[in-house]
Amino acid sequence: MNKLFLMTIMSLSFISIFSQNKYTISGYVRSASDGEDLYGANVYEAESLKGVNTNFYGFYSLTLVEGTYIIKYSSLGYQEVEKKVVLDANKSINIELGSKNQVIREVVVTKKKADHNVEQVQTGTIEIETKTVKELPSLMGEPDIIKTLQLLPGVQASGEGNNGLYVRGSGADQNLVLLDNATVYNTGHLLGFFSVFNSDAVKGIKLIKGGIPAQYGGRLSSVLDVKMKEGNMNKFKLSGGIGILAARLTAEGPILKDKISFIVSGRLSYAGLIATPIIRSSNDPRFKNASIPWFYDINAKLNWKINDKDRIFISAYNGKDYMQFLSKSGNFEFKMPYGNTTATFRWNHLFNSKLFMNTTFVYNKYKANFNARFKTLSYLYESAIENYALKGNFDYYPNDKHDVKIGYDYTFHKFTPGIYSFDTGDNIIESDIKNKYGHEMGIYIQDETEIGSRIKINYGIRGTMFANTGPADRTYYKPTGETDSVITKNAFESFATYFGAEPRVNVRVKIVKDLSFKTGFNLINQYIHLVSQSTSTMPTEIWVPSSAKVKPEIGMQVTAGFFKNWLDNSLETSIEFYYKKQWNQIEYGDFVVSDNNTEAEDKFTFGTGQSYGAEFFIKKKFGKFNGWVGYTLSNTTRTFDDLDGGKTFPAKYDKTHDLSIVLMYKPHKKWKLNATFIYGTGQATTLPINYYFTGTDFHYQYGDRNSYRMPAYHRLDLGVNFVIIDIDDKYSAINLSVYNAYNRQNPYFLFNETEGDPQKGEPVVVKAYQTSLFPILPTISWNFKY
Amino acid sequence: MRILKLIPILLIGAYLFSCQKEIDIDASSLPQKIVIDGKIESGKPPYVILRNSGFLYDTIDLEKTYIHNAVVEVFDGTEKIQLTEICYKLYNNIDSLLENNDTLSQQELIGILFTLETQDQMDSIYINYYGLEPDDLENSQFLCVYLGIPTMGSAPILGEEGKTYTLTVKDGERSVKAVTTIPEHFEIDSLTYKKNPEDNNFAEVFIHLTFPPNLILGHYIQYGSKTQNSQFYYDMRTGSVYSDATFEGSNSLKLPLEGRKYANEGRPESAERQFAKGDTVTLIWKNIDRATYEYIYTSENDGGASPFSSPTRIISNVEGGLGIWGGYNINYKSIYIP
Repeated sequence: MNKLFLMTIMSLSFISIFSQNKYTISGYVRSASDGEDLYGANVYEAESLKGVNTNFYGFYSLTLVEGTYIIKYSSLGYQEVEKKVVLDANKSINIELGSKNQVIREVVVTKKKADHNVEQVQTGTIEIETKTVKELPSLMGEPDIIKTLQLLPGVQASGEGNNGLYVRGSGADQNLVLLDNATVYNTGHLLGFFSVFNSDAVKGIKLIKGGIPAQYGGRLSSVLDVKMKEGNMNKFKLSGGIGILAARLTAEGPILKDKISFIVSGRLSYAGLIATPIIRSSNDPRFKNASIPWFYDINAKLNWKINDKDRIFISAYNGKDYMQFLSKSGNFEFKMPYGNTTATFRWNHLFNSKLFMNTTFVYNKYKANFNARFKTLSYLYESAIENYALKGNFDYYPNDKHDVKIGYDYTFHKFTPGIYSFDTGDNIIESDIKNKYGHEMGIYIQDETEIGSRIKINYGIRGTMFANTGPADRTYYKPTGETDSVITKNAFESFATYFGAEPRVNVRVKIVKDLSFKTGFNLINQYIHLVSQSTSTMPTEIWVPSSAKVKPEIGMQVTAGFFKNWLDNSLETSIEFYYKKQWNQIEYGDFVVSDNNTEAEDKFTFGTGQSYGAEFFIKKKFGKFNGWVGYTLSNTTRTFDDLDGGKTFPAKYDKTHDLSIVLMYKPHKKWKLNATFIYGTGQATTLPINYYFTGTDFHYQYGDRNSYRMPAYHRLDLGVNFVIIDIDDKYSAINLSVYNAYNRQNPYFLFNETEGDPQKGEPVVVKAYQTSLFPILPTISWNFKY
Repeated sequence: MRILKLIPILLIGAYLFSCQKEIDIDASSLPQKIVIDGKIESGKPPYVILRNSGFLYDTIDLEKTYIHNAVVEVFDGTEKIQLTEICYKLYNNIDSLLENNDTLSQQELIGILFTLETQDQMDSIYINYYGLEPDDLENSQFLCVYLGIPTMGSAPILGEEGKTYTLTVKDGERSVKAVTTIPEHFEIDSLTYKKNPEDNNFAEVFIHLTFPPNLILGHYIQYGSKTQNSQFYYDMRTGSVYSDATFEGSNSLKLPLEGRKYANEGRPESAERQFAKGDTVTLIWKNIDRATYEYIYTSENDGGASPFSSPTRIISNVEGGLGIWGGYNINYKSIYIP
């Protein structure tokens, strides 16, 4: 017994003596060309491969035993560099990484390629460069982040041109989309054909499909974390692009060199402004009052390095779409403006080389109006979601074994869930539906640590709370429409309060040098919901809070996969399996009769969802010829007691096969040829199968929900990027895109037409038709940077 | 929310590129169901049309959808009557048909005889007594209907406000049942017109309503319009049915009454759905029950499956079948446009 005691004391003192000789290297990793922080960059010691990733603000902290080391720094799209460090005290080292053509002094550029794919513990994580987004062929030449993500395994579009993200069989509202920490509630312009993210203003794009770490919460399926550029600290730059749909212009530069920088980026779609008069002047009477929708967006950011320890970022986004329609007679018109606004204030503070803090205050609002006038009657329909949020994150690096993140977030939600007012000319009638309020809170702790040389584990837990509160009335109705009861709650009095505990675990086991096995588990609660009646997300669809009736959605995901790199890390491959189960899922009921006072939640019905699949991915990262192939085999179903008599049905975004091929070939430094090909199983849809007459009215009787498959979707896009200038940060290139190169008529939707008049005793023949949207569409665009 | 269905119009830009092609649908028929198209109005006997549902992608012959020789009964809580099937066919030359009447069935023959008998008395007999409307007959080349005919047995049940009626149908092994109640009256105040400022040969018409302060919600209305020369027209664009809950909180209301769309008749575009000088505009104001409201609402809202809408399944009050058994309380009001 005494021996054992002695040994314990001895080993503890050994650790204690040993730990006295440890020092920390910390600092920021930045881009050499513009001083932008690089987040997710790898910082590791060359021999032991012990390392860390920079956080969202480019900060890293690596603790090692006293000695002399080669420290390597690498980041996607940048050359890896190495630096010799004599570690005899805590050191602060800021590193600048150069992009392909730059030569950086003081550091050695290495040839070795990063093995992120195999090394990192996180599963199901995708990072793409905005450069790739810009080079790939696109619809109407408009670089589109969301559509580029849709080319990756496990990420699907729901239909032609659609901008919704459907990640591993989950709905578009189950993705947490963040722009500089502010939630973006609607990611599409022009009814979802184009994304709200202006590629010129975006620095980094990260999508987490599975094994979501504890720092993120509130959405079941995925996290899309988009980081805006911070503005060039070194020199004034102008960049932009002109395509057939829109033009972009970005100005950035130092206000005070190496202290304060700014960036302002704007985008305006002018296709509508140009095309509207042309279409109106056509002889087709249908287009007499036609009006093509248009949009704009503005991103702005200020970045102030107060001192070595403090830094402030202020960023804002505003984007809006305008759509209107006026009938030929002038008796009927409607207008539909909608858009997002976000504002973020962030304060980074470095307490010491081991503790980093970020505090964020966020305001955001998504609002969609629908104003219609029918002669003397006017409708105003207003839906919105508005948030005030405070978030705090602490990154703590206690020693070389742990990377700890602790944080909290609080969000005040205000929902305007489709409020009507109805002006009859004589008086105004307002619907009984009033604003709703919610308070959402989360606290989390997570740690990333290595166990032995092979196992790395990221584990954490997130505690969440949501209260649906007043000041509000909730009116309950009898089936006849009469008021049954009214419940009134004051501010901070809750209609319903929910709590959740969300464990998250990711484990990586390194089998051999280039091969690892990873597995992950997460449980997440979602307290706010967007329920779509249609396959595309309409701007007027409303977000609703969890309430006494709407229970929080709960999602569980298990993932496992093998990751293997080949040819000195220049070829990455992976195979990942996932299984998801989701509870308290929401659909609109089959029989929806509503009036202006019907709460959305009274039209809902609740059930479960299930999805499983396998994703295969192979990516060649380097060389003249690179690109990737992704294939997903999956199955997504839903089961609702009130739909189809409780039978399990395919989800509308269920896709059995989903294949994407992206090829990029650079035969010459001025030329780059790109091709993308996608193939997907046809969309599941509900089709009328039988008919019946009442009187001479013809009615459809529908088959089971989503029981019919549209024809498969496939498309080839081609692109040529011709670089006119690419010297010393000056860049000018022409991009030629051919969308749908072999002119495939992909199904957008199916509809029926009847021939023959039953009233005249003629037989009726019903024919099914398919509408396809975009034929072969060549476009040209020009991108520049000076 | 119905009006939001117009959003696809906004996609005019995308539609400029779009194209359409015919495709084959690979699906098999759903089980056949009995379809009821039945009504009972206050002061009138029941009226029921029975049909079968069928596979959509076969050639559809309306005449073959009728269910003949079914046992159709209506029960008003105390009395039960069986309805009789009458088939009516619109022939251009009834005399010549009657000469070759071997080819006609018993029901068809009765139908023709009824037609002949009532040609001049359509209003008084068909409308007031058997519950048929002139529109029903004019709309159909061939119509089979189950009616309560006094000569065929018991006296017909006549609809009464506030009373509940149960319909049962037996067709061989199959049977369906439905219940409806004739709702109370909710009357309008008046109709007014306003001349079109561009051209005073045309006018819009408005319906004026007053809501009593102690109104208990639960009133449902379908309304439509006609002129002296036309059949009743129901505006499908905004929907023809309304629930009083829509106007809750208001004391009075002015609703526009639209006409059929007239084009290329020397009208200004603003007058394409207005009424003309000399027209007698008649409003049909149908008080309906909740089930009928839901049935009409969902029928008018079914836009099919598109990226912008999901199919609306039509709500039926027929247990085991499709369609509607509706109780109606109908008013008419007219205004002359000078």
